[in-house]
Amino acid sequence: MQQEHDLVERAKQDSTAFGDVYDLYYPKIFNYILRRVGDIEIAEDVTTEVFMKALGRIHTFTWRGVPFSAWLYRIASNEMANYFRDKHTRNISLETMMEEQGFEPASDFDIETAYIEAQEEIDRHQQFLRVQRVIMELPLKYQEALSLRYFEKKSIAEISHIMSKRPGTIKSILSRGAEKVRKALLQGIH
Amino acid sequence: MKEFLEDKQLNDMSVPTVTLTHHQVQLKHVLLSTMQQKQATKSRLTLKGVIVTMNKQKNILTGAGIAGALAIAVFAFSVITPPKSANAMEIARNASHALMNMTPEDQATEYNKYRPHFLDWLQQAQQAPDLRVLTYDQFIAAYPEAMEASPRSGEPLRVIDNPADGAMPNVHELRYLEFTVTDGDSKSKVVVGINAQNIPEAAMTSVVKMGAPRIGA
Repeated sequence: MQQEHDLVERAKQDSTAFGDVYDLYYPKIFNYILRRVGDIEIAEDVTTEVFMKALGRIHTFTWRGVPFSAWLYRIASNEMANYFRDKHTRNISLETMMEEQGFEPASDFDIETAYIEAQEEIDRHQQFLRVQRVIMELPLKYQEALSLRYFEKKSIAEISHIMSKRPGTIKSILSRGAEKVRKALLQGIH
Repeated sequence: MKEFLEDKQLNDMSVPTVTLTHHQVQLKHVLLSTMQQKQATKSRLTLKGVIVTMNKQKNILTGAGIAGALAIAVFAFSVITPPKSANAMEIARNASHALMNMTPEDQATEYNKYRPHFLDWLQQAQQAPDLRVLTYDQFIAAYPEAMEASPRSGEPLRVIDNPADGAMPNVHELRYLEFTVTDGDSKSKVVVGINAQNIPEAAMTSVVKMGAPRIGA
């Protein structure tokens, strides 16, 4: 925790430290978003939004007993809520930003190969896909709590931090949400 | 789907883990580049404040003789120049007052780094004979380049992205104080955007006359 604290404090001023924070959390945040939205390209776009927001706001992060990771997950949840609310419009194009900053994009072949491998990894998890489809149709608070619990394997306390709700409320949301998932699966809708 | 009837089975469910190296690397490049540009912007804003401070100190050291001459010049200038907007002067005074009376909590924020520079500018504004206040539309009409944002070039209007109240500035709602700052032969227009709570949240300088370089300056 102290190491995370020191790293985040340095990341507020130092781009190398911000890069370290990014490397640490990118895989978790990207996969959280991917497991929520179920689409690789959309997950890329939303992840881009999340880290651009995190960069713009990291100086506002203060240590009040909530881990930095929870703060990032909260940004990610908000961005996904925006994504679902705004009818899936894309706000940020990484390609455009890359062009504006004079970076060379990766080759189409490399990207295509990475997408195919990613899709194969997703397709290998058929049980996950069935549950994910059910969860996607539930109200957002259930989507968020159930994804954090069953996909990201977060504890009640962590989910409580991320969703800014009391642990008791989280338990209640999870209990009702899991029941809805079970009913839907038993009814064989999915 | 009996396997999902128990909570434990949902808990133990295997999930996909995807690695997209190209996206991770590209996004990191863009983020770090953006951060470095922001830091450069902050340095420039700080540097402007330092220049203004140095100018003021230099003016104090010019001596009584020059001060007398200046007094005559200012008097002559005031006769031929329309009086500065009372509203603009009031905004500058209120903003100075608000900055000087920030709470200790506000002073503990990142914004406090900019406070001395804004205070300096506001004092210069109150002494500037051409001080005037512009709405957002008037400001954009006068400085069309102000909002030409681009990660490569940086936008001329520097908006403080960590204001004291934590809310992102709305540039449309700011009042823009415009005045001239003279540095030797050089003249620059300075524009300071002030929010409804009298807190400066944006600044821009535009050189109108470039003076000759001074040896040893």
